[in-house]
Amino acid sequence: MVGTPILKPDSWEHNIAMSTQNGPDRPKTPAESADVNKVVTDTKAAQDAGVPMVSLVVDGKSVSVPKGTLVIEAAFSAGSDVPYFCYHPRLTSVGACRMCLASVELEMFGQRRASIMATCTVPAADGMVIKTTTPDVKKAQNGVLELILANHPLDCPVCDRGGECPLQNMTISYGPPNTRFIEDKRRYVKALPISDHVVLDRERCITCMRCTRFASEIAGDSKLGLINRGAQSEVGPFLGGTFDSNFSGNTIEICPVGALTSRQFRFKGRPWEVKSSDSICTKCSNGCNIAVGHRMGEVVRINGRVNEDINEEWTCDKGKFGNADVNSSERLTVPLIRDAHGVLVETDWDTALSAVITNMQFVSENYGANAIAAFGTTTGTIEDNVLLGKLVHGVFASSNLAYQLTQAPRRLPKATIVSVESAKHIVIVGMDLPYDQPMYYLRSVKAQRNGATVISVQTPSDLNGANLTSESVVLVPDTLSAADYEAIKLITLAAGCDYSVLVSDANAYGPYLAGFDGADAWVDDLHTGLPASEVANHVLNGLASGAIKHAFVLASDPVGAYADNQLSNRAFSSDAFVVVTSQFMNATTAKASVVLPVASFAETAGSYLNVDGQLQTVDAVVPPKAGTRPQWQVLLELNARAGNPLPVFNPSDVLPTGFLQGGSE
Amino acid sequence: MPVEQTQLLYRHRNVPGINRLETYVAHGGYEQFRKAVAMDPEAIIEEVKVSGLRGRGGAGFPTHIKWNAFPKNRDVEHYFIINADEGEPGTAKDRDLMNALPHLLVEGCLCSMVAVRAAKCYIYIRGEYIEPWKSVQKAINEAYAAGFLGKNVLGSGLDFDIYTHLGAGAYECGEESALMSSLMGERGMPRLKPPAAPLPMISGVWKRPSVVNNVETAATIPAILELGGAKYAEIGVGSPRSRGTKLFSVSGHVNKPGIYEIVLGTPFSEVLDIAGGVRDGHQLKTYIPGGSSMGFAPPTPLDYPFDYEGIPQNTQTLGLGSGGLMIFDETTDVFKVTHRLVDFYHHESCGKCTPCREGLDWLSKIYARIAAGGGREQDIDLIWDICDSIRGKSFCALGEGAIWPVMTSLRLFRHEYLSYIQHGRNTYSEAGQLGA
Repeated sequence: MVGTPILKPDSWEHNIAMSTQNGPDRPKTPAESADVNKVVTDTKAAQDAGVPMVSLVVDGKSVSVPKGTLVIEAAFSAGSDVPYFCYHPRLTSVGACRMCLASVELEMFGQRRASIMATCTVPAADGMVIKTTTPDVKKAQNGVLELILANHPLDCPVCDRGGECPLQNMTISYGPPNTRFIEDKRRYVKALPISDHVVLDRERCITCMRCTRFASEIAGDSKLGLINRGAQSEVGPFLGGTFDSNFSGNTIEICPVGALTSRQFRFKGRPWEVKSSDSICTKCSNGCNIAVGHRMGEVVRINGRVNEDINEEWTCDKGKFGNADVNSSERLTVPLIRDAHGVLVETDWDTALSAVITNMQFVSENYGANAIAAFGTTTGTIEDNVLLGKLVHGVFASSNLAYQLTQAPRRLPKATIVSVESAKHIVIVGMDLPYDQPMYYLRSVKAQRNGATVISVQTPSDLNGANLTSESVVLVPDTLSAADYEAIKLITLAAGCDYSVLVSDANAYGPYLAGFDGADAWVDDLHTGLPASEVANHVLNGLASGAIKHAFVLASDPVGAYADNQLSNRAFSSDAFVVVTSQFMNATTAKASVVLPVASFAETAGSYLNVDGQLQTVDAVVPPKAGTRPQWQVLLELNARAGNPLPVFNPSDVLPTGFLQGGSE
Repeated sequence: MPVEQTQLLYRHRNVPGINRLETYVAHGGYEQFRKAVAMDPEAIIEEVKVSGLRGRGGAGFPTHIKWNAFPKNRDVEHYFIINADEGEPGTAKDRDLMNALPHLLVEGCLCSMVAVRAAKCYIYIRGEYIEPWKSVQKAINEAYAAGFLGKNVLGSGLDFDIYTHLGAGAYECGEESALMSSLMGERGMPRLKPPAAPLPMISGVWKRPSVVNNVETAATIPAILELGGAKYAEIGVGSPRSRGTKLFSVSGHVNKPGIYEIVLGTPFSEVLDIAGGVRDGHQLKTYIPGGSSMGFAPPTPLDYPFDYEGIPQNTQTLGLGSGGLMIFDETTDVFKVTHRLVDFYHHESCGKCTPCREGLDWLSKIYARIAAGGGREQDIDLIWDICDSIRGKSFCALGEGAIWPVMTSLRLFRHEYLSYIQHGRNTYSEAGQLGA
């Protein structure tokens, strides 16, 4: 009688019989799916671009892949599954974990032979025959996984990674159900903080070297390395130092186990309880694509999301951990109004909004339209600015629409984030690039790995010693003085190269696009460049002199951030009626007559134009914090109260149509 | 009639003061370099090709193939690198060469540098080899003083520099790519090999053409130039692919342990005789033919030609290796020897790949437990399965080399393992039994 063979417990045959759900449909973490996705997309793109291809057979299916593709990638393209830990499509191949074993048949020394190889170390070649599911392969994978698990503590129930852990998935799909080892496992101090953001658990580490390769290849700072050797190998920062990289958070995401975890997210929720929604980071101008993880309406973590034109899949630490301020107890949640004694007191929304409109109407009637001024926001959405323009310019006919708090010439940078990658000579002026322009920095690291020279100089005059050529890419911050920009212009002009002003705010061009600063033909101007705004100066002087009686400041801080600090201080110390929308108290809210608490980036929908001119529109991820309202909602209501009822909000309705035709180069 | 043992490297081994330049020169030293520096590099490579010289470090890869892969110009700097990181248990030939005949190595390097068009040579010396390092450095200093090294050497218009570099005590750095990483100041870990990475001869150390050769390989070059490749190829009585002589470090239960220069193909029994035979009153139980990574061989047959091809398949050993011949008589506790070797490889695993790092860690733990009397029947299967997970799956040859003594000892001496498991001791070696 034929029956199920009785397999010896603890034998590898038994192990394989116990591993279920393997193959392409096995459970995958989002990161694993993204890896496969990238490989398949890249292969397709290369095919379309006419790159030389090689043809091979994977599990009986022929595939063509670009020359130089690894066998593991060819297997993904063929729809086969190969388990892996150390392989990562954005890191150089290292062949450390040995999980991606498959049978590779190729011509060697004149004869065809099949042998089991780590497929992440073998480039695909014409005529190869790959088999990923033979018993030999299964046995080999099972054996390697048994060894990987031998020292792994299996503390999944208390591990943050549990539930989205590649090691868990691979174990279910390819691994042994039990261990045959009875000796003690390696023991280390658990939960060792190696930076303000990252906690290291060396017991869980499987030494795949993804984090160390990330540190040296992607972040370019080599802040993590391997210490000791053999079974004592451990990951860590150098000699008692800390992992103080601005990109440390990415290592948490690419760690295939729970060895690197986030101090912020630690024990805040199991991955299956955390919902993930697409959003855009607004901590700086780069506009990185992020996935906001939220649990019961609260933002708990930020992960990178793929956008090849901006952040590939990385985030900086400011974006990954800084956005926790969404949950801050310092957030303003109640509107504030200045009472008869000159003290800011809490009030309700209705009173606050009435006060704003009443004053606007009063000023407009008694002092004329131009006694009202507005400051657009460079951190909020384009729609917010449009709606403010409709109120102040459309309803009250004021032309005082100011926004620019810097002296930088306004122009989209010629050097886009992607283009920096292929630059040969990159000169950075007066910026801490990893912190100020993180994604420009990551591309400059890539360029450097490809042989580019990257120079950082302190002041514009240092540019003279930077060997500029017409090929040079000069990156300039938007915080310099007008004289500095003039100097940079002259030096780069003489060298025949261009320079790129990299703005700092998430939506630095937003108010301009919304028609602020009186510019109507903004699309063309954006490319040719304009001198720094005079409107902001005009408005501040008007406030200081008393000519302007009402200022509506949309989520910005002219008192704290304006280049001419003395002027802005004087302006807001006048007795003008100042309305400020804000999430937090700042130098300007302190001088306001009415403070309106508004929603954070995660709580509002809208569009942003990032540093190199890419338009991105997002939806709200979580409901606004109790008591706050999204800015667009506040402005819609103000418009309505001022007699300008607008249809229900829809970003594309209010987005300047001309912009979509213009776009970036 | 025993094979006549031609001495090439060791010809002047016992001449007093041969480690000094003047004595070395008095015995014909640097004559081959004078010849080589005037030769066309291609002619030298051709001689080496005709000689059939194969790398003496252990892998036995034909030397001329490596050299021929170099760019045939001096557009960028080429590096000639000597692997003197001799760490294989049972092997000490390079140490003796460097101690006794440092100028032979320097001359060999110089001839090789001409062939591969290198102006710089790095000798990567094992960290524990302080004496050999001093000896080689002294010879280099003397060679500089005598004008064999430096700028425009012997009026040839060529510059030659040799640097010594002491390792930091990692067995793994004897692996070619790990050695190059270590030389560049990086972590001593092996790197991807072709086809996933360029050949070192195209892009090696500092992305320049580089080649790594063993001490003995380089030291053989002067003899090849002196005799001519064809004449050198006539030496050897075994396989047509194993030519010339090779140094063997014979250790263990023999009457005269030491380093011997043996003509390749000499019957193994004769090699044993040259080392004085198994110590008196004892019998051969097992032996390791070429450094511990090659594994244990059974005591029969013994009359096979001892060269790269001659080692009988049935021994299941990996082959000649680095020539570290270890002889064990019937008093040997093979389990214990294997345990010691496992501990060695466990200690030396670089930690890069899972099978070697974890496999050896657990093998070491399991051996310790069995040795302490805690063995279980299923441990033998477990050991075998761990070996199976390492064999062909580890990144470099370290893992492969580590499990070979384990697997061969299990094949030949399973009963000794069982004895430990059942009785907590080795009843076979205690009784002086050769086999089960």
